[in-house]
Amino acid sequence: MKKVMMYFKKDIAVNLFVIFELFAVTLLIGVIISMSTFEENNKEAASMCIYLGVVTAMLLVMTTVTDKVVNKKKNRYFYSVCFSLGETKNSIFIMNTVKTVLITAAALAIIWIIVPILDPLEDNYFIKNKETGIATAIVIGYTALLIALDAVIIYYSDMLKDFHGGNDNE
Amino acid sequence: MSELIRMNGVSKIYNKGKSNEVVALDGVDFTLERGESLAVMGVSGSGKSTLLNVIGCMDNMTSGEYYFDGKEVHNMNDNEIARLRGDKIGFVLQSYGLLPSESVMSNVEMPLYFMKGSNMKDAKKRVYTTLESLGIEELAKRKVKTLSGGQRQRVAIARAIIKDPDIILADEPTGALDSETAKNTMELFSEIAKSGKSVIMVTHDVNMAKYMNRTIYIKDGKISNE
Repeated sequence: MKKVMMYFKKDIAVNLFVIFELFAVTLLIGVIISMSTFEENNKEAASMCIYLGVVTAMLLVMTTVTDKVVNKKKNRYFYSVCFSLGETKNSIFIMNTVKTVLITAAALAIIWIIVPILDPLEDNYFIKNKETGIATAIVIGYTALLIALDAVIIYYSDMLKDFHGGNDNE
Repeated sequence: MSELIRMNGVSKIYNKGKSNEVVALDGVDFTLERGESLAVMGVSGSGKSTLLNVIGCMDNMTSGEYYFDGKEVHNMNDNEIARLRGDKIGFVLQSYGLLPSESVMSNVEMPLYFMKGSNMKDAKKRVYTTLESLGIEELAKRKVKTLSGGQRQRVAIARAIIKDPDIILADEPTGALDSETAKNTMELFSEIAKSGKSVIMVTHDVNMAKYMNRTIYIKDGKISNE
């Protein structure tokens, strides 16, 4: 259990903060738009909320991608340390994949739950909604891309022997 | 003393068959007895660190035979190699290889997560005992990023020895330390060797190599002399 926590607290905490931040901003903007257009009952407001949800989810996944690219040294260093202490490549890949899937789940939660909550017209814009469906597909596509990227890095590169970045990573 | 490591004709070739092919190790033969300490010297790019990585199972060899405590490492799969690395080998690096934002306690405890059959209930006690043996128990709750270079290196050594490995592999362990701290660190390695563990240390510094029982020199991926 401690091992699992060690993996997760490294970047899940950061990602959860990003999720919370984006959620709060989306909610705030959505509520403002909903309130300002409530009496008009116009469909554009509902669409706007959905687009906000979609943008939020996209931002979330893109933040993760950016984190993997920008903090490449930090991430790779952490896995190099684990590898040198006896962790297998398979476990590192599995842990990474679980983390990515959890982040995706959070992004999908924003799309599937937050967007309907923000729906001022109350016309059940759940997964059936075209925009939500497209956003879901995009987020899942990104997730697949991230997992493939991790697989290449972990199994086919020299990253697990790279101990640079340990002293300037925090 | 019994034989801990035997290498027969070990080669490591990067980018084999490509235009940028590099022969890092070229038919290395050597043995190391249990409890023996060895300094590996050579110029940059001679293959010292590659040899250490192959011995430490961080890197696969391209060809040859490698026996660790009589077991055929060259025939092991990735999981068996990871198990060997986790249970029998401790690493100490020039850059320490610690997690700076974590406490000393967390860093030293880490290898126990990866050890087969490790009892995590006693982990904290085991960490304290190890820190005590190195005289740094008062640092247990400090974050690594607040420590000096010498203190970090002691923490790295504590992390390497907590799992009671058969061998400690050190890659330029004194490279980032001032001369006095380097001397203290080397005395620590001498004590570890005297306690019956094998030590292999890569170094550029002849003065540091003197702390080891034996020295080998590597040139162009080959052991040139002893």
